[in-house]
Amino acid sequence: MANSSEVRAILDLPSSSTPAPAPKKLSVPTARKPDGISRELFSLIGPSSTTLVAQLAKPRLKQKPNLGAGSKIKWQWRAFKNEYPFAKYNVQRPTFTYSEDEYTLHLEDSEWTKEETDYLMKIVAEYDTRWYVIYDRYEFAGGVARTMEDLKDRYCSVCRKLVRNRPWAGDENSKNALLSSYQFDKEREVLRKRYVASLENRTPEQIAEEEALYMEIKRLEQNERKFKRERDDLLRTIAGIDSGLPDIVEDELPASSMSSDPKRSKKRNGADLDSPSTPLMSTPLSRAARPSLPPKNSAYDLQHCITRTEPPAAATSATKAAHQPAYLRSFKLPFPKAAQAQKVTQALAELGVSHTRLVMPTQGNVALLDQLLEATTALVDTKKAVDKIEFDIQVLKNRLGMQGAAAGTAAEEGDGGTEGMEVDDGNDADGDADGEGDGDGEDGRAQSVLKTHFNVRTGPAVNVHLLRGFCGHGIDTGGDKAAKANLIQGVCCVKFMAYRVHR
Amino acid sequence: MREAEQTGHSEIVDQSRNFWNARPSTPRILATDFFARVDEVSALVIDIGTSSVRAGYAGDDTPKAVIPTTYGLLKTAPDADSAMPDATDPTQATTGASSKIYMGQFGPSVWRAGMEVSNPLNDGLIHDFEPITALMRHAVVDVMRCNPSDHPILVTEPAWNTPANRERMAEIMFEEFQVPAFYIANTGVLNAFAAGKGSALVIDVGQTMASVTPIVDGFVLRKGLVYSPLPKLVHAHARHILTNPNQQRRGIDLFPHQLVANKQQVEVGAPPRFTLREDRLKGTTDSWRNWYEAREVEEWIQSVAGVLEQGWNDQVAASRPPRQYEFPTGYNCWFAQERYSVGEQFFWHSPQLMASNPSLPKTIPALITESLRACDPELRQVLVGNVVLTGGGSLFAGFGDRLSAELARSFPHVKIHSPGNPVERRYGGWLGGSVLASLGTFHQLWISKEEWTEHGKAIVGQRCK
Amino acid sequence: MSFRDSNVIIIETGRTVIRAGLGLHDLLKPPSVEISARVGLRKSVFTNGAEANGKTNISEDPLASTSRASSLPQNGQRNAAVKDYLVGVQLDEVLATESDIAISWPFADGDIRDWTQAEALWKYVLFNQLQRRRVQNESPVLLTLPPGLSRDSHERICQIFFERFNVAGFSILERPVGQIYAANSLSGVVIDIGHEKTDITPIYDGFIVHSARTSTSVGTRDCVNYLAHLLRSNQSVMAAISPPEAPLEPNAIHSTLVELVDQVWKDGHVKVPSDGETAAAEDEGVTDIAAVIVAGKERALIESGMKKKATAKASAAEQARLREREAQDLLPVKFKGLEFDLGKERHRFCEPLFDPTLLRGKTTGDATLRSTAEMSLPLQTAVGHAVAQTEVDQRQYIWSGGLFVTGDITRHVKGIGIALQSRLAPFIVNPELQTDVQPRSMRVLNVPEYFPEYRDTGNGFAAFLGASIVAKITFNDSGGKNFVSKADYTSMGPRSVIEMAPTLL
Repeated sequence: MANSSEVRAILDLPSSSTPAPAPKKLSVPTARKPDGISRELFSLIGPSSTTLVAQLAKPRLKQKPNLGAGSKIKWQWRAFKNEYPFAKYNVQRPTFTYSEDEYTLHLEDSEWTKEETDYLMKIVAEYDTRWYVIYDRYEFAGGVARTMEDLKDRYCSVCRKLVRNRPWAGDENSKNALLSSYQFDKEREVLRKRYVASLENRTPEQIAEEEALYMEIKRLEQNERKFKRERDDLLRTIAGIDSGLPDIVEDELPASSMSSDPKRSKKRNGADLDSPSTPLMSTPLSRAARPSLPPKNSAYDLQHCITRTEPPAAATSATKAAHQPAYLRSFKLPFPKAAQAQKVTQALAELGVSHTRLVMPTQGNVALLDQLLEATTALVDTKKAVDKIEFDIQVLKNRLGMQGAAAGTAAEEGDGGTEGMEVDDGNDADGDADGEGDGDGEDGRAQSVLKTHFNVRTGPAVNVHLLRGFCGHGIDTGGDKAAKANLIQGVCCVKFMAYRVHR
Repeated sequence: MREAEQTGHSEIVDQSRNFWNARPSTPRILATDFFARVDEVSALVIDIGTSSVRAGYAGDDTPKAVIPTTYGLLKTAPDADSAMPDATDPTQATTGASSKIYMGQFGPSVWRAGMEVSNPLNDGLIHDFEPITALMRHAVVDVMRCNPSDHPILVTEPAWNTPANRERMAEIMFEEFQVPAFYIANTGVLNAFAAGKGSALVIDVGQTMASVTPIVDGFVLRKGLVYSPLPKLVHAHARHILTNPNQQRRGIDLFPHQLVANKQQVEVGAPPRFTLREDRLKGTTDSWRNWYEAREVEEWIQSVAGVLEQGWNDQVAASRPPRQYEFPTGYNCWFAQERYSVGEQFFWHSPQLMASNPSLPKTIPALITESLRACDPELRQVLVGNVVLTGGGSLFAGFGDRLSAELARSFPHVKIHSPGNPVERRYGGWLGGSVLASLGTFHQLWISKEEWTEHGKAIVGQRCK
Repeated sequence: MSFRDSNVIIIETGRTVIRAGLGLHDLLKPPSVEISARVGLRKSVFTNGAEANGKTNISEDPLASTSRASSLPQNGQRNAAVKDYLVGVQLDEVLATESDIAISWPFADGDIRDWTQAEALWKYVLFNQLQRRRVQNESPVLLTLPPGLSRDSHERICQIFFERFNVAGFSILERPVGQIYAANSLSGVVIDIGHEKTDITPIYDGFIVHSARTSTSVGTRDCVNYLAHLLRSNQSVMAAISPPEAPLEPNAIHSTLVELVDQVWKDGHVKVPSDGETAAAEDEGVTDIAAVIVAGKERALIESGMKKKATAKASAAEQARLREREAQDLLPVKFKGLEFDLGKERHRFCEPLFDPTLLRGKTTGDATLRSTAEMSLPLQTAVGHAVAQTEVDQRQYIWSGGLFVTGDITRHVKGIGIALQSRLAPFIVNPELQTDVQPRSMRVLNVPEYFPEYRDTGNGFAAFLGASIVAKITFNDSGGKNFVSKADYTSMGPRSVIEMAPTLL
C-alpha cells in the first residue's frame, strides 16, 4: 500500500539522504503498463501498439477518490502587505508641473498667486480632477472665495498655456486634441449654471403653468395629428389617393405607437409630460417629439439643392436589385395604367395637361404628376362607379314610379321623381345646398369633365350619399360635416395639383 | 504496521506543532495561488454607533458581534460579600481602582445593584475613548474570539468626526490592538457603497442623530453635510405620549421585566396588577432605569408606531387600524392616532413648537433642503435620483414612503434606495465597510503598521480622505 | 461525490464529553463512543522542559485566560506533543494508579483552550475508538462544536482534520443548531445544561442569533452539590454512610454524598416541580395522568403500579407499610453495599438551576460550594434575557418555536422544560392580545417519539441526533456544497470550511 515516499516518512528518513534509489527508478525508461491489460500481453506487444492500449485502457470505473495520499499542499500564513498587484493598471491622469521661470513667463495672473496655483494643481491631482470634490475640499488659507468655475478656469488655462508653450513631441493633431480637452469657457459655464439654478428656482405656480402649457401643446399636436390622419383616411376611402401632405406619414409613427399599445403610450406620455421641468432632458425631448425626422437637416438640403432619393422600398426592392443605376429623370415619368389609359388621358386633356411631356421633370414635379395620374385614375374609377349607381337609381326610380303609378297616388308622383335622394336621408338638404354652393364657387374655373361629374350630378354632397349607399351606411351621420369638409378640401387639392402641374 | 504508522503520524504532528507555534501573529495571505487569493486578508470591520458597536468579518453580509454601546459602571469597592461578580467574566473590565464596567448584550441590560449606565458617544462622536477601547476589545476578542493583531481593521466614523478623534482611533488600533493595518472610513460613503452607489444623498437616521450627506464619487461633500439630533426629539415625544395621562388612559408605567416580580392578565385598559421586585428597587440607579425605560419605549415604537405616508391628516390617521400593546407590567391598551403622531415628528413641527423652541432639531425635509442648497445646482438632480435611506431610526413603518412623498413635492425625479431587510438598513455603515474592505482594489489604501511607524498620525488624514 | 452512509463519522464535541459514532443507519442510532473531554499529562515527563522554558501551565491560547473560564483545570504544556497526552480509557487506567497526572479539559470554556490537546482527543476517537486508519481514510467527518468559535479556529480545525487525520470530507455543525433540529424545530431557545455551565442559544429560522447567545454558571454540578448538602440533614443517610462508630472525614463525607446523588439522579429518581409548586405538593396529586406523562414520569408511575400488584398478595400489614412508604415517597437505595431510604428532598435536585443563590455561602467541609453564586443568573432569567436581546420581531417566533432543554441531565431528569416554561410566563403577553409582534405563546420541545433509538435517552443526545440528521443530508448531497471535500481543501485551503459549512456564515 505505502509507496516509497510514505515509507520514508514513516521511517523518518529524510528524502535527501536517499538519492541512490530514486534516480535509478526514474532513469529506467519503461513505459507504465496501462490498466486493463495483462502484464504478459503488454510485454509482448510493447507500448507502441497505441490503438490496442487505447482500446484496453478505455473501460474504466469511476475514478476513485484519492484517499491514500495525504494532501501535498500545506497551507501557511503570510505576513500582511498592503500591495495590490493590479495597481499598475490603474491609469493616472498626467499632471502638470511647472518651474519658477515657466510660471513667471506664462502663468502670471492678477487673480492668482503662485502659491494658490500650486495648491490648486496639487489638489486637482489629489482628487483626480473630480471637480465637485475639489471645490468641496478647496481651502486655501488667506485666499479669496472661489467658485468651481474659477478653479476650473484657472486649471485649464494653466494647462493650456503649458501645452502651448512647451515643445511638443507628437504631431499637431494630438497637440490640438490635448489643447481642446483643456478648453473651458467660463462665462458660458456660469450662464449655464445660472439657467440650471433658475430652473430649480421656479415657483410651484410657474412650474404648474409651464406644465399646463406643455400639456396644451401636447394636446394641440395630438389633435392636429388626429385631424390629419382622419382627413387622409377619408381621402383614401373616397378617392383612393394620397392627400399629398408629406407630414401626415411622418406623424403617423408616434401616433400609431401611442394608440396601439396603451401601456407603452402611457409611459411615454408620462415621460413626455414630465420632461419640461427637467432641464437636462430638454435637448433629447425636442427630438423625441418628432422622432421620424431624417437625421439630416432638410433646410440644409434645400439650401444646397440636395435631393435625397429614398427609393420606395416596397415597390422596388422586392423584385429588383436594391441598386439603382444613374438615370434620366424623364425616364421616370409615370404613365397611367393601360386599362384606363384612354379615359385618363382624356380627362387630363380636358384639364389641358400633357402627361407625356414635362418641361422640368424635377423629382417634385414627377411626384406631383404621379399623384395627379393616380388622382385622375381614381376620379375615373369613381365616375364609373357613380355612373353605375346613377343607373341603378334610375332603374329603382323607374320601378318606384311604376309602383306609384300602379297605386294610383298621383299627388306624389312629381315629387318622387325629382327628390329621389330622400329615400336615403332627407335632412341633409341644407348641407347639400351649401356643398353645391361651394362647389359652384370653386368650380368656376373647372374643366368640363369635372363639370359633368359634379355640377351635373348635383355636387360632392351627392357623392357622400352615394358612398354611403356603397358602404352600407358605413359613415356616421355625426361625422358627415367633417367628412364633407375633408372631401371639399380633397377636391380642391386635386384641382390645385392639376393647376400646378399644368403650369 | 500500526506501530509504524503511529510513529509516522507523530512525526508529522511534531513538525506541524512547530509550525503552529512558529506562526507569525499577522494576518495571512493563503499560499498557493497568489493572484486568486490576494484579497483574503481576513479584515475586520468595526462600526461604532450610539446604539451599538458592530464588528464582523469583511465580506460578510451581517456583523458577527452587535453589542450595545452603552455600558454599565459599578463604582463599589470590590469586597468579597458585596455584589461582586466573577472575576473571569468577559463582559467586564476594570477601569479604575474601584470601578468596573459591564459590556455586551449581558452587560448593562442585566440588573445590578448600584450599577450606573453610560454611553461614550455624544451626538454620534466619541467623547470617551477608554470605554470605546474596552468595547471594541470585547467585540473582537470576546465575542468574535479574534486576535486583533492578526487582522487588518477598518473602523467607521461619522462624517462630522474630528481629525483628533480619528487619529486617536488610529493610535488605539496600532498601539493597543497592534493591528497590522488600519483604515477609517466615513459612514456616509459606506452607506452609499452598501447601496452599490458611488454618488448618493445618504439620509442616515440613527438613535440620536439624523444626517444628510451628499456623496460624489465616493467622497463626502463636506459643505453639504447637515445633521441634527432629531431622533432624540422623536423618542422624547413617544415617551411623553406613553407616560402622560390622556382622556383614554392613565400614564403608563415603564417598569422593565427586571423590576417586575410577576404580573397578572388584565382587561384592555384596566389598571395593571403586578408586583414589583422591592428587593431591587432600592439598588436601581436612575441612569439604569432611565436607559431601560428608553428601551421599553424603543420597543413600543418598533412594534406599534408609524408615520403616515402622505403627510398628516386627522381623517387618515383615524381610519388606520389601532394596535394593541402590552407592557411588562401586564398593562395593555389600544393605540390609534397617536401611534402616527410619533413618526410625524421626523417630518413636521408645528409653528407653535418651533416658535417656543428655537433650538429645535431640524426635520428631515429641512435637512435635505439645506444640504442640497449647499450643493452645485447641477448635482442636485443626480443626488435626489440616488437617495439612500439608512439607519435603524428609519425603520419606522411608512418612513420610506413618506420621505418619497416629501421629496416628490420639490423634485421631479426622486429615487430612493431603502433596503427592506432591517439588517441592511440598521447596519448599512458596517455593510459598506464589509464591501469596501473585501475589495482587492482597497488593498493599497490600508495604512500598514510600517507606514504608521514611519509617518505617524499625519498619514491618517492623507490616506483616509 | 457522495459517501457511503456506513463510512460517515459524527463527532460531537461538548464542553466535558465527546461522543462519536460510525455510520448512518436507517434508524439513527445513539453514539457508540462516549469519552470525557479531558486529557492527562504525566507531570514528571515535562518538568525539565518546562523549567527550561521558564514557563509552566501556560495555555497557548491567550483567550482562555480572559473569558468564559471554566473552573475545570487546564494544564497546557507548550512543548507537549499529541502523543504525550493520555486520553480515554488509557487515562482512566493511569489515573487509578498514578497521582502525578495533570488533567486538562480543553473544551470546557466553550472554546478550544489547547490545540494539541484537542487534536489528541479527536485523534483518539477517530483512530482508536472508531478504528479508522489514517492512510486509507474513507470516512467523512461531521464535527459538532460549541457555537461562536472564531473563523481562525474553524480553519485550524479543518486543517487538522485534513492534514493530520486525512479525512475524506469534512463539515462543521454548531451544536445548538443540531439540537434544535433534533427537536424538529427551526426556531426556539436551546438550553444546554452542562456540568458547570448552561449554554442558552436563541435560534431563529435555523440560524443562531449569535448576539443573543449567553451562558450562565449553573449546571449539573450545582444540583449535585446542592442535594449532597441537603442530604447532610437526612439522618438515616448520614447514619448509613458515616456511622458514629466509623465517621468519615468532612471532605470524604461530601464526596461520598456526591457519589450517592450522582447515582440517584442517573437512575432517574428525581422529579422536577414546576414553578409555584413545592416538591411535596406535586406528590399528592398523582391522579393527573396527563401532567405526569407530559413531565415524562410515566415509567415511575407504571413501576409503582406494578409494585402495587406485586404486593397485593402480601400481608395487610405489609401493604399498609408500603402505602405509608409511598405516601412519604421513600426511595430504597442500595449504595456501596449499604441500604437506606431517601426521602422527598431528592426532588429538590434541580432547584439551584432556578435559584443559584441557594448555594451561596453553603459550605461542605472546607470548600465553599460556590464563590460565584451571585454572578450566575437563574435559568429563567438568563433565558428571558437572551430572547430579549433578539430583534423585536423575532421574539414571538423564538418563543413559539419552543424551549428545548438538553444536556446530560435531561437523559435522566424529565420535566425541566415544563418547570422553566412556567417561570418564563412574564415574558409572554396575554394570549388574547391583538398583536402581530408581541409573543403570545410558548411551548416546550422534546426529541420526537419517532426516533425509537432515542426513546430512553430523553433530550440528552439531541446534539448527536441533530448532527446525524445533518450528516445524512450533507454527505448524501452529490452537489457537495455543504461539506469540504478533499479536492476543495486542496484548491481552497482551510478557508473552504467557512464557505462550505453554511451555518457558520
